[in-house]
Amino acid sequence: MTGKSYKEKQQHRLQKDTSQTPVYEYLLPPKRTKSPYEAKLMQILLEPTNFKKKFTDLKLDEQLAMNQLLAEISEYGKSENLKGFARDFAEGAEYLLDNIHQIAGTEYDKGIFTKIHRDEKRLIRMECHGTINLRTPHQLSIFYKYFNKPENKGKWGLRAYDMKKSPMWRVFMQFESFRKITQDIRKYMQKKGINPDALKVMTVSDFCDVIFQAYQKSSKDTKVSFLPEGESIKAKYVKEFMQRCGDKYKKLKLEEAAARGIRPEAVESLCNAMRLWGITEPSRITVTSFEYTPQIIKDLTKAGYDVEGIEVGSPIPQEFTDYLIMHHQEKLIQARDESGKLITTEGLEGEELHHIGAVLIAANNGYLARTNYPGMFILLNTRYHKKFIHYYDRILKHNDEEQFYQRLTIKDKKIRAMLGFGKNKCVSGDFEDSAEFKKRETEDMLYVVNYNKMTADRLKNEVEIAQKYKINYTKVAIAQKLEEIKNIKGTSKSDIQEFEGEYIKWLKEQKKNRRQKKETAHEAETKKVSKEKTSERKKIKSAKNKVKPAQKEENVKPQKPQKTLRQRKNLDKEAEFDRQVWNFIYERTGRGHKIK
Amino acid sequence: MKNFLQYLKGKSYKEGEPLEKEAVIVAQKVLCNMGLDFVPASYVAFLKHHNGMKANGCYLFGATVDDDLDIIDQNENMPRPQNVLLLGYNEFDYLGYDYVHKKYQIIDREDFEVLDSYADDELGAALNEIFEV
Repeated sequence: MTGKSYKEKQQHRLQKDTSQTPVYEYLLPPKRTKSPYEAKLMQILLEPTNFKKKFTDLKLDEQLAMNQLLAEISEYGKSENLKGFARDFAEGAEYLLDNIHQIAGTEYDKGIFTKIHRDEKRLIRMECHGTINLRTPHQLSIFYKYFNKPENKGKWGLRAYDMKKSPMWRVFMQFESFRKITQDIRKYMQKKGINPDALKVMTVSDFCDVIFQAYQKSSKDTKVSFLPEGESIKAKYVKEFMQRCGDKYKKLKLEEAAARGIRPEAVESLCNAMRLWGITEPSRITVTSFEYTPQIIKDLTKAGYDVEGIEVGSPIPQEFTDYLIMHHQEKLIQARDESGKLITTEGLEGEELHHIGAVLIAANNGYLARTNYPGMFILLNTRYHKKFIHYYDRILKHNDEEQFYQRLTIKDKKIRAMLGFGKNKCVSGDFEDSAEFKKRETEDMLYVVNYNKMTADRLKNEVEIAQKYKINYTKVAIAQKLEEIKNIKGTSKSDIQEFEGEYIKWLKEQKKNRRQKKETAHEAETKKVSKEKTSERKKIKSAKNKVKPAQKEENVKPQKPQKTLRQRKNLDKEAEFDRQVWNFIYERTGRGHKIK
Repeated sequence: MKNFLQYLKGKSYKEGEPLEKEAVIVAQKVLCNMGLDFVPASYVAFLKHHNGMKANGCYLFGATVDDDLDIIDQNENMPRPQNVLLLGYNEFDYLGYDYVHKKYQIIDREDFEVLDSYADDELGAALNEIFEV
């Protein structure tokens, strides 16, 4: 920490700027990001000869600030009608920006993409991290809730759980990580006595709930890993990276650490954590010692390890260090400095995982699973990732279905890690040449499905299941369906036309059923009344002769059943709701009719 | 939120200095001056436990001197959807607070699509969704 308080840090934002205006102020956009390096950077920009060399000599933070300043000057030049030297300066900024991209080996990638569904995005994220969050009840479907009621549960054989019959599980099965757990999910559903028919109508969220429960260890869990520790796609990539490019990476990290006064033990421990667990976050990593110390021998003895013959100062074998890390016992060999203080990773930067092809674009270009392939990942220095690679991200709405995008891509597709600007800060490798990967790719191809088609299939199944189990549609269910139509609508019309027909049929049928029910109830009521009336008439007839003329009128008049005010209001609401539903369908699809 | 705090136990992450009352006041003042809104009360309650956190490319902002975690710096520098105060992000999504509808949101970083919404008392679920350790 710097030692200054938050108030001091933000002081410049709380007070009015009273500092002297620099002479070059007129060249810069008035609303720009304040940088402590501005004066130094402007010195270079006002004398830009040999820019590439000057830029490469800067520290990473200064390079990032230079990139931002140039981008802001360039934008300013485009938006304002600058004149004279100010205009030339802004044009020059654009040229210098190109120089930076040449050093970084990056270029702009611009185009149009079609949005993918939220469910698909969720699956990409879940597969990448290997975790699933607790679902809230409003995210689950009424069908899933119905089949989870104790009275609707039962016993079925494992064979009845044919996951291929589930349209939405087929969406999951596009990813290797979910294919791996298919058997577990089948067994769990059987164990819980969930009707196999539920598979046909379960949504992505419903399956998330099943996976969450199947892998939940404690009732307090709100997030669960459905893959073993260190086996998520993300962790596996980092492990493979270290296996293939670990030496080069470690060399770069040691150079960087030496320049910043960081102990090599810290770098070594980060590399160990990356290699064994796929962890890239240096904070709280236990820094392990290179050699045995009296304290380490003491700690190992206490923990029951045989330390006979081990001498103080002899190196700790890598295999033993790995063994202790894998068994979470690395604290036994913690590294200490000369004064006996524990060495930490303070100041050491880790790398972040970056998806080379944005999720949306990758989905556009190929199949969904491809997004999480090793060739689509790259490890980036934290600051470089945020302040350079993502700095140029732009999305512009084109129409409801398509959007323009702009982002930065790395030209050399073999680069697997970038620790800063320049080729000498990059690590390259091809991770898609292994037999294991080829097998995964071939299998993935076999499981590719179209999300919209699968959703349409599921919604068709809902009609069948609703009829079979007499699950009446509710207002909530209809609202959900309409939302789904809205979401599908943006994609292929022909894919969903068939579904819409079915859905409208279903609605009509449900409405007809309701009408029939009402009519039957009314008929029964009328029959009852007429029966009552007949018997009443008979009674009246027989009594007619005996009754005096003045009493006749009040006995004969039939009683019409009167609806209460609440009943009438409910009927009005229902009619209004139906009107809205039908008008919505009519406006969206041109089917049915408009109700005034 | 309790469950999320429980989940963090034994996990590896870096966090900002303990939260000071004055820092919250400064953050609220500056954010409002920037045309944004107050940090929601439930999030401030979380900051009392962890004043900003980062791990493996996941960030939760706080009123802290650490530039990467400073809620003001991040809201100033990152592309942001309208009427949303950014509270954190990961490789894919933002955690934002829609101060018009008073909801926490998980927002796609690429196209600003709202993937999930959570009420004020569901902050724990939202934090769970954004912070992967």
